[in-house]
Amino acid sequence: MRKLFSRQLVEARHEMLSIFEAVDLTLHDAVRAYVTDDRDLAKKAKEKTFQIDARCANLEAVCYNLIATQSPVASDFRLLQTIIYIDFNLQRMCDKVRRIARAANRKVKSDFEVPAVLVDLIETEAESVYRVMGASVTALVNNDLSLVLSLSDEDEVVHDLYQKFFRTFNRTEAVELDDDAAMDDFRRTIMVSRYLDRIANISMECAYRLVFLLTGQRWTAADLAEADEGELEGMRVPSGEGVILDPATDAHYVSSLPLDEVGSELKRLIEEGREEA
Amino acid sequence: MSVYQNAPAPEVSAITAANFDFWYGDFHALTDVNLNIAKNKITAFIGPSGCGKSTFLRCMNRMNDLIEGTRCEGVMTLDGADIYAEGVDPVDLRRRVGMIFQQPNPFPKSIYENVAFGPRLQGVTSKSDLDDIVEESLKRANLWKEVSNQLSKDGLALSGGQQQRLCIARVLAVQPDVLLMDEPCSAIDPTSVQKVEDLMAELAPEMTIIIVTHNMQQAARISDCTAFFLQEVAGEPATLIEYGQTDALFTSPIDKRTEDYITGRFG
Repeated sequence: MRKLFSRQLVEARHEMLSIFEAVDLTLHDAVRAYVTDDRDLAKKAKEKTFQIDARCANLEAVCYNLIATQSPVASDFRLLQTIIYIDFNLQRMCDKVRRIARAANRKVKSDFEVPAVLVDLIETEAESVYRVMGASVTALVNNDLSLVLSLSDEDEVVHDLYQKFFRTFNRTEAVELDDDAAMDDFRRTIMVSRYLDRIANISMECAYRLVFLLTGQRWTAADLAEADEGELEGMRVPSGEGVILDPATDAHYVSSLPLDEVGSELKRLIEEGREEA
Repeated sequence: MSVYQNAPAPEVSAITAANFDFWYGDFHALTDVNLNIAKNKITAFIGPSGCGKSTFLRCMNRMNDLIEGTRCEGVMTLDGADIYAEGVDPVDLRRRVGMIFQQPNPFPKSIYENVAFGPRLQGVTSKSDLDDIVEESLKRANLWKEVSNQLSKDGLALSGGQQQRLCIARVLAVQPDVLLMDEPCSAIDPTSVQKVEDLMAELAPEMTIIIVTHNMQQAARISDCTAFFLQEVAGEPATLIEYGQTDALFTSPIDKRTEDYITGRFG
């Protein structure tokens, strides 16, 4: 019975990572659709988000079922709490990806052309978001607390780009638009930048939950900002196989991510996995 | 990090053990147990069979004195007084530290006589006083409503769960400070288990309760603090591995052996 439960925990963890990968790749599609005015790609990205939603709902049900039937404690329970938390936040991220895909679709249909400078900024911001998501996944795969601590710097880059986008947007001569619909489309572009900013932030929050998984302590973002890496490492508590799984096994479930967006350690694991395959 | 993180401080403890060892004849059963049992809280002892948790529990009211060849070293105190000091009357100690066993063990007497037995031994002779004590004790044990009109019925004729609550009422009748419970729910049905657990929660604010249980969920559900005992090597003495607040111990145990035991990886 314990073996079966351990396998179910590992499977739930892998599904969480796999969904994380799917959200990341779908975001790539949605942003590319927005930047290149590719309506088909926008439609596909939107469809993928519904599939992700279904997977998230299923994973949540699996976790609650395990809680109800196995009465987990200690690291088993922390792992399930972590998966449920991240699963919920993956749904939030997925919702924002879907909104970007919708914005891409509207952008193609609209008569108004979004200024190139804003599109470029969205593309640049998205690249920073991919790096935050890649670092978040890397931290989760490698149980890397030090990487968690560095995530806020990565997220700050995204936030700076969002603010830059906002400033640039405000300086654009939107008032010259006569058509109300075009004006609305123009204004909606700011939301794409905002969604990207939120996705990065939520991704970071998912990685922050690693601290709870490995130490049992519920640290806030403010606590982590003040945290010392050595102190955090010293707080690790013993964990079962669902938590301290071989990272190479986890890496298999996020191996489709672009290698330049994940950390060097995860990149190495993915490349080794590909060679073995 | 201490394995006693978040454990009660000595000044708020009902029972404390310091460097406590115990032997059954030549067999060294327990070694170097140090812990403070929180006053008016529920403390659970968990661990695999043979890990010394019941032995340690029985040291708290010197029940092991009844077994020939047993001895202990170290200090164990009740409200600051050494319970193994010369001059301590074990019978008086057992009045203050009552005990409930795995199998309900009512006397082959009426329900009324079961509960009145202790107070009578203490010298209460007034019928009205005894009536009051019996009613009060049965009410506190959540049994009064079920037996108030059949107090002359044989205690052994009650159901298993009722018998266990009758035993609790019998202990409550002598107003103990501490209630020791050695797997009190392992021989009764789930509904009765629920009633006993509810009763423990009701009694805890005015009484220190220590329970030995093999049921992890029960320990997690009802106790404020939990102590994990383990005998790592057969033939070697068992000891206390980890002790602390129940929610912390069941969420983030500090010792790998605790993690492995409570998650069912051994034991």
